[in-house]
Amino acid sequence: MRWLIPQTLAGRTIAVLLVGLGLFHLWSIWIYQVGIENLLGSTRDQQLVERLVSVKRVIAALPTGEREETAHVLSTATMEIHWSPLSLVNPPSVESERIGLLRKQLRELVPEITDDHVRLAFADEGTPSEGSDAYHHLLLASVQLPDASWVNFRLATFQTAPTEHGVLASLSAMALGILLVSVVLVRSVTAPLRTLARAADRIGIDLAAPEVPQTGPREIQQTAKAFNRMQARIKRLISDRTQTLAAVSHDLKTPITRLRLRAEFVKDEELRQTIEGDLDEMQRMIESTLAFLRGDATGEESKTVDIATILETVSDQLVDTGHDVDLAGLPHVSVRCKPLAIKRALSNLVENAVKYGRRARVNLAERGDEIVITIADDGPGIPEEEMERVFDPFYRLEASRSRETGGTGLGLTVARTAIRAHGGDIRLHNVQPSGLCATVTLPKTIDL
Amino acid sequence: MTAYSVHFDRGDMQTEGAMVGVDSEAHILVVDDDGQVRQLIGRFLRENGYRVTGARDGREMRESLASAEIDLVILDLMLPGTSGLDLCRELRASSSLPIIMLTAKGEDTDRIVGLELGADDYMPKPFNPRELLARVRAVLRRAAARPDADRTTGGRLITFAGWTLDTLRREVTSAESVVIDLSGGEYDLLLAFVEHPNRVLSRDQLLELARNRTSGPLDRSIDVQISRLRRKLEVDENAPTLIKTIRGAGYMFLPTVQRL
Repeated sequence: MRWLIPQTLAGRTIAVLLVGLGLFHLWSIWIYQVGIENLLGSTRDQQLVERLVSVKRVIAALPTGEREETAHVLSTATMEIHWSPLSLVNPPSVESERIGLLRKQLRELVPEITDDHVRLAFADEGTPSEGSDAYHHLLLASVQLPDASWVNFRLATFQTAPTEHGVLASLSAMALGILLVSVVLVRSVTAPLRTLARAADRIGIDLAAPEVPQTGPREIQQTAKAFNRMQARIKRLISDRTQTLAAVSHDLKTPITRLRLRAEFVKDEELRQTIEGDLDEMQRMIESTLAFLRGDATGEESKTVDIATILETVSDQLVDTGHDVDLAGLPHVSVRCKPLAIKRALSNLVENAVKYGRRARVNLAERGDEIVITIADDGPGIPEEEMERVFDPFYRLEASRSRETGGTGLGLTVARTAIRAHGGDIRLHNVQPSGLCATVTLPKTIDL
Repeated sequence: MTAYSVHFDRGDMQTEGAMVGVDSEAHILVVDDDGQVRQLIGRFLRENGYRVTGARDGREMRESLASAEIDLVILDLMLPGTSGLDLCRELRASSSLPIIMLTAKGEDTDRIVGLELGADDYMPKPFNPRELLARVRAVLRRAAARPDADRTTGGRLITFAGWTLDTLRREVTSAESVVIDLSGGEYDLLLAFVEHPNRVLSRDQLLELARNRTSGPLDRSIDVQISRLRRKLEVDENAPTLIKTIRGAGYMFLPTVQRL
């Protein structure tokens, strides 16, 4: 039964309207019908009785020879009249309620006609042709004349008009009307709600989305207003935090500069190198945090760059620090991009490969309009359910946290943001027998 | 020398000319509003044989320039009062004094703006002190090697064999305007070649010329750097047309070089 209930607010409103008005309509039709029926019924019966009486009087006044002929002449399409010495109607053993009413009216109009002189029956009750459907609505009446002969009537007028079809037609017409009008009206009433829902969806993706228009019914206006206030609050909150984080990261640059200078005066060479290593790590964290916070906001201009040389620089740098990086594929591929952003993205991916996967195998290829860079490692890979989560900011896998590999958990976030800003994407998948492969696709021609 | 001492908030920032290193006693003016950074840079450069004076803002910088013979200015971008960029522009308007910009902003645009205003080099904070030292040496060497007019009037772009080297952006572009990504060491090595074309350069000479960057244990040998340069620039790295190996002597840069 649940599926019968419409899911949308508009649908439910329309259903309520339809059912409510439909019931109301049916009920009023019934009241009307009963009223009309009563009124028409009594008028018709009265006319009938009057006609019966007048015909009887006319025929009674005529000589016997002319009676049958006159009866024929008086017959109409709805009333057939015959004169006969005997009654053509066999009165039913039990009279129906309707016949009783007729008899009563007859008595009131012409008191001289006693019950013995009138025989009334429906065609299917009192005539030779029993069980025939055709006679179901025929009233048969015989009135005895003073000379004991009978005037017989057959009345077709007794049918009550079949009203069911009319009710059905008017009901469906009304339902259709309600449906059409209410679809238009209710949808326009609930339109601001749908706008609100879409806006709420959008703000989840893009905080800079425009405000929701404050239109529609007052409740919806209030909701929209509250929603806009909430959006503004979230925006302010996030921008406050972003600014704080950026300011802290930025302000750390001065103390690190001092520490770097101070480290130069440390006489113990080994100690100096460890201090410098720590400082390098701090600096990398700050730079990746700032890169993450800046996002697309970097004013870097786009240039046509040989992306192969970027990969070479990145690989060479890691090779120089004692890592195992193997670069293969096309020797030169030029692409229009923001070189620093792309270099940072690729560098993050290759660094991850050597850090968590011991060894990076980088390949550069072209496929149609795309550049495809794969970076595979020999590490343990990533559980399938973590494949998307690792792109979340500050998210780090348990393995990486416990291994003291350092890092901020921003590398992949920054990389994906940069690549996506170029119209490409990064996908991760595990490879056999063991290892993770990052596939970077970049369109060759994009407008930046 | 005691004449400047009024500008210092710390006595140890005073100029000392006692230590004379390989690069003689060039006089460097460090303009930074952070007292400790100023003091530490001063001490570090002094230990490496330079005379150093400190200034905390534009006013002190002007006073120092007026009263002493300064060979190089290390200028912080963020200063109270007149900004480093404005000071750089001001300096350039009147002289060709070598300038190295320091900035904590680290945005690429700042670097370009600073260099286009006439700074000779740029270092983002936090920098490696030994890299700063190398840059100081390189800038001083270049300033000494070139007549004053040369630095300000063009010379920013150098072309060779269809390639263009932009000395401000430290960038190499092909004839098809495709930027080739070079590491710092590779760029410095290429610049050394471009500045000394058609001459046989020994590995030691190249090491000395390209010593802009840190020369730590991580730096690969000149041979490795050259093979990497060839891979990036040569059409066929096995049949080089740019950098030729002179057996037993070193390397020679073959193309004709033109300054624009």
